[in-house]
Amino acid sequence: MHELSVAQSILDIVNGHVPEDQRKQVRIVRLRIGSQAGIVVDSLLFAFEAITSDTAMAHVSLDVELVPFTLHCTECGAQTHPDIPLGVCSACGSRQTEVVAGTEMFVSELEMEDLAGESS
Amino acid sequence: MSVITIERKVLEKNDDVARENRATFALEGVFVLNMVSSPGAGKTSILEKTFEHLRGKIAVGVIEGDVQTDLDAQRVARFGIPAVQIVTRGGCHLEAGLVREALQRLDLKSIDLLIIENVGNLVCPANYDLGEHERVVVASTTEGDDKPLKYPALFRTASVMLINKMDLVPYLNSQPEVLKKNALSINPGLLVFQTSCVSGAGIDAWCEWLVANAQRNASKR
Repeated sequence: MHELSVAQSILDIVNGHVPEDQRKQVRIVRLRIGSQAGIVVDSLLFAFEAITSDTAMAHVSLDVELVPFTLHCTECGAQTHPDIPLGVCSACGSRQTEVVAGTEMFVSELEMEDLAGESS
Repeated sequence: MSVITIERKVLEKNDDVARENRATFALEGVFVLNMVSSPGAGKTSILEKTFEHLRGKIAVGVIEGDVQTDLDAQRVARFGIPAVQIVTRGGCHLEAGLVREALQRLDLKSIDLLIIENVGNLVCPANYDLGEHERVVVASTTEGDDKPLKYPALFRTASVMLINKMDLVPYLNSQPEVLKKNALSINPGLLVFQTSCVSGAGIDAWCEWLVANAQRNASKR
């Protein structure tokens, strides 16, 4: 249930990038979230909507790219996407593995509406 | 439409403060644990046993995180140990900024080992680095052997696991070896201790590990 504080962190990052007088132009905030980042996307969308309603960002929507959990085996080189995020290689059984994706949480891009008269 | 590339970690602010905390700990030569578990796994009981054992060996300090009340800080304060309570008032986890504030109320120079007892929760604390050296997850035998598979993030991000309430094993269907195997399948690098706060079993080994790490850490200062 930390989606509210995650939503607040996302809003802080966006506000840090966009001057106050341009916030109305923000349309979409694109996120990259690992399937094992511990985030319930629906709760995050709800929380973001709740904290932006009645603000200049009320019309902004979140677009979430969900990144599959990916384990790299340093012994056999296999890249696997186990459903349960095991740390043991499902190809060769080795414990010499590293998680290369699926736990991240990034604000990747903003889509801004251009003001009339400006070229895109 | 124009697209602006951002590429910023959502929790970068927390990570920045965690880095500052880590630098502070390095400067003062304090070895720091972040203890996480579900509510009732026995974190505070383990702390009480640990303090009894460490008395006269190394100097310990505690930061207690709870949703409400300072009952845990009162429990550990009985051991004459500097204890700061963080009351999150509903917050489900500690964040690096809360720990930084709490550090203002501790004299780190006189502490070798700082234990941060996180809010009892197996989900949210996984995302928040506090600046600790080791994250210790406590799993108790009454919780079910499949806990690590159900809550993988916390077991993956921890470096040490205590299997607590070992004294209850004869009365349960629980198999600590299965719990351990499940945890190691999520995180093959986990260091595992088996403990009981009733019989005291395993507390020696755990405390020896703490003392060795605290001393090694102090010598790096």
